[in-house]
Amino acid sequence: MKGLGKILSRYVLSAAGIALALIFLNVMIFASFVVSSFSAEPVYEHRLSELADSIQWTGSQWEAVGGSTLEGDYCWAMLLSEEGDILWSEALPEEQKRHYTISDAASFTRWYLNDYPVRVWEHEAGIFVIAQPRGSVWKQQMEMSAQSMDLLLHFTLPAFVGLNIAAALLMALVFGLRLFRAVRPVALGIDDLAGQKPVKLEEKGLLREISAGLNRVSEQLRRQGRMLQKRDRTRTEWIAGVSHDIRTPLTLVLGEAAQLEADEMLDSAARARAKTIRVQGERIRALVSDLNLASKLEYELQPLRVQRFRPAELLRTAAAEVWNDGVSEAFSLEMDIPADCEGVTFTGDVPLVERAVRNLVGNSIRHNPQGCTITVGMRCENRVCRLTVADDGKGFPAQVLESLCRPQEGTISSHGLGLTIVRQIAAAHGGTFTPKNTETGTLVTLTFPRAEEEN
Amino acid sequence: MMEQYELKILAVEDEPQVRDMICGILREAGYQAVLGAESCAEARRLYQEVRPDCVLLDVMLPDGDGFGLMGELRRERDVPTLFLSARDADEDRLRGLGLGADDYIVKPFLPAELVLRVGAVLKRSYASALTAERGEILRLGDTVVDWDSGTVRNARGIQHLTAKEHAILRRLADQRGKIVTIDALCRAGWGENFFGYENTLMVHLRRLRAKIEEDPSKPKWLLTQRGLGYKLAREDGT
Repeated sequence: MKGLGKILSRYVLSAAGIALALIFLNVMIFASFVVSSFSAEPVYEHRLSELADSIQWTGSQWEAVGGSTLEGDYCWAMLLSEEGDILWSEALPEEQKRHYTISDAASFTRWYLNDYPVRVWEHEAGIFVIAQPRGSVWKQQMEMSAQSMDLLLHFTLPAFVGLNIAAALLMALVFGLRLFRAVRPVALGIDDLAGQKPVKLEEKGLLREISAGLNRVSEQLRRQGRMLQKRDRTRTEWIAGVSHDIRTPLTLVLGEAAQLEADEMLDSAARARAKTIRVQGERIRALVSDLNLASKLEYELQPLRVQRFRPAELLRTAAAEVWNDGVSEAFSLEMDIPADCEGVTFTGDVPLVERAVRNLVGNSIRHNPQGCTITVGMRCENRVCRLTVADDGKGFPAQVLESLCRPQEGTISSHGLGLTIVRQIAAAHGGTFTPKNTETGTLVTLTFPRAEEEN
Repeated sequence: MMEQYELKILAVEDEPQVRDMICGILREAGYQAVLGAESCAEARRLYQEVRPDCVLLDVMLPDGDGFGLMGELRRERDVPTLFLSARDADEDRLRGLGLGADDYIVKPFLPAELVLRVGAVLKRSYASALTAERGEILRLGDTVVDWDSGTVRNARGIQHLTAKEHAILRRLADQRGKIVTIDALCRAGWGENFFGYENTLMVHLRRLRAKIEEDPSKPKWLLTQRGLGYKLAREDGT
């Protein structure tokens, strides 16, 4: 939506710019026109005075010195005495041959004489009148108070320009908003598509076809999503079903083996064999449960039960649980939790995070039968907490490390299901899982985003 | 007053071999009246006839599900109920416990687990009716801790435990031979808001050692698991 706001503001600005440019252009054209027509005038006036002066008294009558005064489009001319009598004329039409009063003179000086546009110039004997053909000139008297002129220059004109700009901006805004309103649902629809939400836009208006297209894309995506989800669900349910079916016979295997193991009537060798069956049965139990959890986590069918907890306590609980299950003397455990990390809290699914830590510690024990020292630690930074499990054993095989670091989407690695679960649990909490080999063994780091501290 | 092992247990499980095994394990553990039922119908009948004191229910039964059956049985009479299920789906577990089940055991389980959890439920449910376990004591070599009187008796004479020492030692004894984390010990001593009592805990443990150990500087019973917690060693030293 931020993008749309930007588009709208650009749109308004460019529309206003166009309007301003148009106003400027118009003013320029008008000004050049006025300047050019005004520049012709003095020449014109000059010719008129020359023409008037060319009519001179020859002693008996008035005569045009140059022969004719009618140059250009002038069609007739006359010289009137102060009393209004015609002293001289040239090509004067019949109806004009009369006496003129002062009021006649006052009228035609400004306007027309019998519809002939006329020009008037002072002459020593009276006034020189020269006419252009009827209908050839448009005359308009312009008069204005000095105050109005002042107002025009200092207020009306700027106000006019200002109003124009405002009107242009307003119109741009209105049209822009209309466009914005038309585009908005489409933009929101695209956002929804990206957020995997269903989109159903009204298919009308300017962007009807785009809306229809979006609706089709949404429908298609949903159908694909449903199919994928169904497939994932089927797979997970299948795994859950298989593990359920394994559990019942395994209950019998474990139960009977454990009872044989405890049977004091049997000799120690037979009881040792029963123990092997029981221990292996427990391994199958753990595998089945891991497989189930991994498939649920992979397809996000395991809901997180989030609560606030202290990771320091969780680390101790998880480590103690592993140790209490029975660990050989060859292993030793170091806890590395600085005092300032003790009070730090996370939010997360406690059994799952505990499971992750247990898996890591258990992994170090299982893969180093000769024994090793396991260090469980914690470090806090501003935004994240790091939980670490390190050992000084023989390290991860390269192949396992490779498959853990580059997990393929939608597959469950067959190497180290336990570690896969750890990666999935970290990911489900918005954290990271980084296994690596150090000079002395392995180091697995889990980062979790740190929860806002509650006061 | 009655004995815990005199309580009647009804195990409802459709798989005959599993049912026999469950009954066998419980009888082996000392329970004298253990009955098996293979369906909801049989369970209802036995529930009426025998009036069991505890019911173990499989979630999936041929003629109904365990959740529904528990509701039905409970309407008549409140009876401690444990679910036994091959489904470990969290929803099932929570549904069972949410409906008021006393425990939820996932198959496969070890015989010891079953006995422990049934025992715990029975103890909790019939605490007042059961014969009080009088004179319960903890033996640490030649030292004897008497829980009722809160005293420690050994060659040096009789010493009294404070309330906190009693709570902490009890917690350790409950899981004798296992590491109990600092956090769990603090919780036992100070309740849910235990955070910040670690140093105080050490003081109490030092005093406890002075009372129960022959040589407190070389503890034989109350062992430290550095950074993690403490454990009360078993008689055999583990």
